[in-house]
Amino acid sequence: MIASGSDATLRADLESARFRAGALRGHWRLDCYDFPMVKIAVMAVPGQQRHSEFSFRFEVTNFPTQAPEVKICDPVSDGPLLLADRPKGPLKNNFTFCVAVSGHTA
Amino acid sequence: MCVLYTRNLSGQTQSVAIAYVRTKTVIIEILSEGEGLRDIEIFHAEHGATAFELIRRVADRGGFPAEEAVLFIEGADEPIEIAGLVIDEQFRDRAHHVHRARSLDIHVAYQDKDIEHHYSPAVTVQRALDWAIGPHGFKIDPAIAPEMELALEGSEKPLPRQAHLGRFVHHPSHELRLDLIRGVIPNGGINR
Repeated sequence: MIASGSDATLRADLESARFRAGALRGHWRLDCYDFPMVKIAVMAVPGQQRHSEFSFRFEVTNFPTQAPEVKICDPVSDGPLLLADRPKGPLKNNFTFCVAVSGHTA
Repeated sequence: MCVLYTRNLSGQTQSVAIAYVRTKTVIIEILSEGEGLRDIEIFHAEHGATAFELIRRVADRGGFPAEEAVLFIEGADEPIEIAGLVIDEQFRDRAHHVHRARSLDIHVAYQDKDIEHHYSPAVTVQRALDWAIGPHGFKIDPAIAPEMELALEGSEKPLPRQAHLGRFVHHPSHELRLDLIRGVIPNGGINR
């Protein structure tokens, strides 16, 4: 199978120093990657949420020309995360950072 | 195998056969920021090379003499003593910083006040921000504190919170002047 430009771009981003530094710092981790779907778990601020991390599913067809379609999902069922389990409060309180893949901020 | 000729205590020459196995070179990928770098980067060094090798590579990239630089672990207040230190797997597990300054004078301005603190170049913008908005800084109302950001003096563009302060300072200047600003509130990011 020939890798698409989007696949190659995303793989380069996942290998980038910036993405790896975030993983090293424990801010996020790559859960799985099966183009065009990539799942990334993002750490929540300790003690402020019901979960220690939140799982985001990115659909990256035509990335980076087209921004990824991102959904917060249940890490077990892979379906939509129940409303009660979703992060609460101001965005900047929920996560240690805003989700970004290399230079392409989502 | 090689043969090593030694001399014993009575002055006689002895030959000692030494067997050795050629080992595969292991390259360690190391994340580092540094003076003159615009972002964190990946550097490669051989397992067993001296720690100075990492300093040299970052200094080459940043365009300054390696002999004048010191090596920090991310967030550390003091540089690492590199005498006898070799690169191993531990270097993979943390981010580093190479800079010619050991300490920076950080000034933060907000409204009509200016406060000062000393941090190492390896300290993140986030840590300086936490101090600036906190009880030892400008005592920002907790309701708006999450919206505050640090920007270079006169700029309205927030600095990346995980960037090391040393990224914005070039020797021989050891001073960094910042403004505390109210950042952009993401659409839908207000308390629900």
